[in-house]
Amino acid sequence: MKNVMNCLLIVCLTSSFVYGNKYESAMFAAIEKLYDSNDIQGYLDAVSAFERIGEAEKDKWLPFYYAGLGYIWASHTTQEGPTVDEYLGKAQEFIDRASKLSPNNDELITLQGYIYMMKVVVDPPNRGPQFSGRAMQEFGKAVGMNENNPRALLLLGRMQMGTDQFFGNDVSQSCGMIMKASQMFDVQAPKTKIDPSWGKEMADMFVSECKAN
Amino acid sequence: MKSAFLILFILALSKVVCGQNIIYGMVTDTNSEPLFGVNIYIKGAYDGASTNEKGMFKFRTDVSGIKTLIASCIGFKKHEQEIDLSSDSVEIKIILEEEINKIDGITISAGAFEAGDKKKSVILRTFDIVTTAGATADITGVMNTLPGTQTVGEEGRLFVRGGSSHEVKSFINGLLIAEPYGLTPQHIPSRFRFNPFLFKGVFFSTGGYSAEYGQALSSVLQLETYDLPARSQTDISLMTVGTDISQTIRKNNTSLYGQVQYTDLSAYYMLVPQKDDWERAPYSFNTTLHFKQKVGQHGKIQAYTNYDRSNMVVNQPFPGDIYQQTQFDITTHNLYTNIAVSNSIGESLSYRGGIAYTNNLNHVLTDVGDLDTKVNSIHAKLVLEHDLSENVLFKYGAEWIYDEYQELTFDRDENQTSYFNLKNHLISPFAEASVYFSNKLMARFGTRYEYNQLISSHDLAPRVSLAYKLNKNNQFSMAFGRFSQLPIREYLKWDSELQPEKASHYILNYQYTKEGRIFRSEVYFKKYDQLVTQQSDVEQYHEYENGGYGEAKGIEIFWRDSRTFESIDYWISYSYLDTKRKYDIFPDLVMPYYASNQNITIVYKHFITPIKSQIGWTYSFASGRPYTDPNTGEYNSRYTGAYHDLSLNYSYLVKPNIIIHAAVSNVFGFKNIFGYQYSSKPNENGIYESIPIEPQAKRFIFLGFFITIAKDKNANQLNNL
Repeated sequence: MKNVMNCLLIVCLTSSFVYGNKYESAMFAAIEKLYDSNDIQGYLDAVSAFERIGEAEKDKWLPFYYAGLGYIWASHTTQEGPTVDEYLGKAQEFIDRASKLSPNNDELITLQGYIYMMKVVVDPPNRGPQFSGRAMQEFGKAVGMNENNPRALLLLGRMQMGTDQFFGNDVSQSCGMIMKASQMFDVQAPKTKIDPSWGKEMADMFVSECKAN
Repeated sequence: MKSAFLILFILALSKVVCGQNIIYGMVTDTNSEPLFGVNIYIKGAYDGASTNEKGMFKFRTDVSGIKTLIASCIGFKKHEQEIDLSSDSVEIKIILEEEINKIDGITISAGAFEAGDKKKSVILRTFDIVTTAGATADITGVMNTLPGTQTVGEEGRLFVRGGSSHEVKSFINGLLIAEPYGLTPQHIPSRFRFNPFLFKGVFFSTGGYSAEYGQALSSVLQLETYDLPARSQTDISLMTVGTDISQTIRKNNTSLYGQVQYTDLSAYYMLVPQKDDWERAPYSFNTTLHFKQKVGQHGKIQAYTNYDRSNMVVNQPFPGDIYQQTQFDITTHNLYTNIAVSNSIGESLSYRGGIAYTNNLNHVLTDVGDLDTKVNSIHAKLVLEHDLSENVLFKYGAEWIYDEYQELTFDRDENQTSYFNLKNHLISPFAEASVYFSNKLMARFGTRYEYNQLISSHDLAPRVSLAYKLNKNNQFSMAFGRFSQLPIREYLKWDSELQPEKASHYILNYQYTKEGRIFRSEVYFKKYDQLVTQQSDVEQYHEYENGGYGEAKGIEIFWRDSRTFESIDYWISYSYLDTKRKYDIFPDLVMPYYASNQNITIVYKHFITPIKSQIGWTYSFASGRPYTDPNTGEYNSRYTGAYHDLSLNYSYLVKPNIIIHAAVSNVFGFKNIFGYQYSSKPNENGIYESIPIEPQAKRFIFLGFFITIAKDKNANQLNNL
C-alpha cells in the first residue's frame, strides 16, 4: 500500500509537472484557439480563455493583449458599424489593462494603431481624417521603438499604401515596407511560443496586392 | 500483468485524487432569459468556459476544495459564489443582475443635441462643424441647421423657439462667454467670435436643460475644446477673406496652440458690389492661445485665451430720403480668457471648474453721436460630481458671475454727454440628482437658486426630466424646468427695480436610433412671464415694468441618415413654431419679428473617393416673418416673403497636407427680404417710406487653401478632428 501511495504521489507530481509551466501551456492552447478561429463564437471563446488567465495572473500583460487582439479580429466578422465599434471598445479596454502592466510596449502600441485602423473602416469619409492619422502615428511610434517589429512595420506599410493609392502616388516605398516586414516574418522566430507571432498571412496578402499593382 | 493493472488503476484513481471535477450549469438574467457569452471560471485558476446561446456551460477543473466561482459578462454585475469542489460534478445555476450604465446607458434627450465622437447617438459629428455648407465654419451657422432654431438672416445669432438671441447663453468648457458675438451695424449679421476648429464637442440645448445652467430663458450652447492634439504642426490658411497661421506644439502631457488671423473684406467688396456704401470693409485681427496639460489619469488643466479687434465703416441709407445716409464706424476689442480644471478625487468623486474673464470695448461713431461701451465680466464655477451609489449620481456646485457695464454716450446735436454704470453680482448654488431606476428608466431632479445683488432678487429654478428607453432603438424623454434671467442691460440701466424675466419649459421627446440613422421628434410648450415691457410717453421718458408675458409652442422633427446611401450623409430638420409675446415695445401680444412659423433645413454631404472630394449643399427655408408697417397703424401685422437659400461647398484634398475649400451661398440668387425699415415721419403724401432689409449681396463666395506642415507628411488640418 505504501508503494501505491508513493506511486500516486509521483503521478500527481508528474501531472502537475507536465502542466508544468501551467501558464504557458494554458496560453498556448488559447493562442492556438485564437489563431484557428474564423467565426465570432471562436474568437469570443478564445477571448474568454485569455480573460480567465489574465484574471488569475495579475502581472502578465500577454493575456490581455491577446484578448484585445481577439476582439479586433472579432470586429472583422461583421459589417454592422455599431457592433464593430462595440468590439473595438472592448478591445480597447483590454489594451488599456495590458498597457498598465507593461507601459511603452511596442506590441501594445501596434494593437492601439490597429484599433484606430479598424475604426476608419466603419465610416471612412467621416473617420478617415481623424483616425488614419492616429493609426499611422501609433504604428510609426512602435516601429521607432522596435524596428524589428514586423507587425508594426506591416500595418504602417499598409496604411501608407492606402494613402498613396488614394492620392495616386507611387506605392513602391510603402510596398517596400510591406516586403521588408514580410521577410522579417520568415527570419524571425518569437522568443517564446506565447509571444505575438501573427501577421504572416496578412503580410502575404498585402504582398500579393503590391505585386498586382 | 498485475503491475500493469496497478498502474492503470492508479492512473484512474489519480484523476479523482488530483482533481478533474466537472462544473456545469446555466446562466440567465433576472427575467430567466439565457445569457450568451458569459465567462465562468474559478478564481485564481484558468479553468472555465463561456456559455453558449442556450446559456449552458460545462468545464473540467483540477482544483479542489472550497473555491470561488466567478461569472462575468459585460453589462451585468460580476457574480461570485463559493463552491465546494469535493464531489465529481457540481451543477450550478446563476442569475446575473443587470449593471446600470451611467455613462453609455440611458440619457435625457429632451431638448438636447450633442456633437462629438464619444457617445454613440450623437446628432452631429465633430467633423460637421467645419463641413456643413452654408455655415461658413461658423458654429452658429451649424446650429441653425438643427430643429428649434429660427433663421434670422440679418442677425447671424441664435434664436431658439421664439426666444430672442439674448435668451441663449454660450460657454467654453463650462465657463460663460459674456460677449460671444461681435458688434455690427444694424442689419449686418455678426459671426460667432471663436474658431470652430478648436472644439471637439458641442452640447446644444433648446430647452429643459440641467440645473447647472442658468440665466438663459431659451437655450444653452456649450463648447468643449480638444484634448491633446496628435502632433506638433504648423497650419497655414490662405483665404479670399484673409490669412491665418497657427502652430501646435505637443510634448508628452502638454500642448500649446497659438494662432494669428487677419481677415479683411476690402478686396472682396471691391470685386463684388455690396448693397451699402462701405467706407471701410470689415477687417479684424484675431489671436488665440490654448494650453492643455494632462494631470494624472483623469485630470486636466486647460487655459484658453482669445483676443480680437475689428473695425468697419459703413454708410447706410435712410428711408424716405435718398440723399441722406447714416454713418456707422464701429471698432471692437474683445478679450476672453478662461482656465478650466477637472480631476477625480478617489473612485466616486470628481470635480470640474474654473474661471473666465471677458473684457469687451465697443466704440461706435455715428453722424448723430458716439457710443462707448465697456463690459467686464467674471464667471467662476465649481461643480462636484458624486457617485453616491450604483443608482444615484449627485451633482452640486455653485457659480458667481460678476458683470460690469459702462456706457458713455455723446449727443452731437445737443453737445451732451451721458454716462451709465451697472454692476451686478450673481450668486447661484445648484444641486441635481440623477437617479437610475434601471437601464431603461432614469430621472433627473435638480434645482438652482439665484441671487442678483443689483436688483436684490431671489429665485428658485426647479428642473425635472425623465427618460424611458422602450428598447434598444426607441426612447422617450420629457423635461420640465423653470428658468430665470436678469433683464438685459438696456433695460436695467434705466430701472434697477426690475425683476428677472421667467420662462417655464414643458418638453416631450421621442427618439429612434439605429445604425447610422436617427429620428427624433419633439413637442414643447414654453411660457414666459415677468417679461420687461417698455413704454415711452411724449417726453420720451421710458417706463419699464415686468408686466410682459408670452408663449411659444411647436413641433420639431429631425432625421439623419448616413447609412442608406454609400458615402452620402444627410439630415433634415423641420420646426413648426407658434409664438406670441408682449414685451419690450410691443403694444400687444404679437408674434415677434425674429420668429417664423416654419423652418426647414436639408443638409447633404457626399464624399467622392475617386476624386478625393467632398461635395455638400444645404437648403434652408423659413416662412415669412412679421414686420410693422406704420402705414397700417398695426404692430407686426404684415409678413415678409419666405426665405430660401441653397448653399454649396466643395472640398478637395490636393495632397495629403493641402486642402482646397470653396463655398457659395444662395447659388440661385433667391431674393430674400428680412423686413422693412420705415422713415420716422410720413412724407408730404402722408406715407411712411420704406427700404427693404436685405443681405449685403445676393451671394457670398469663399475660397481657401489650407496647408499643414508637420513631420508626418500626411497630416492635414482635419487631423485634429
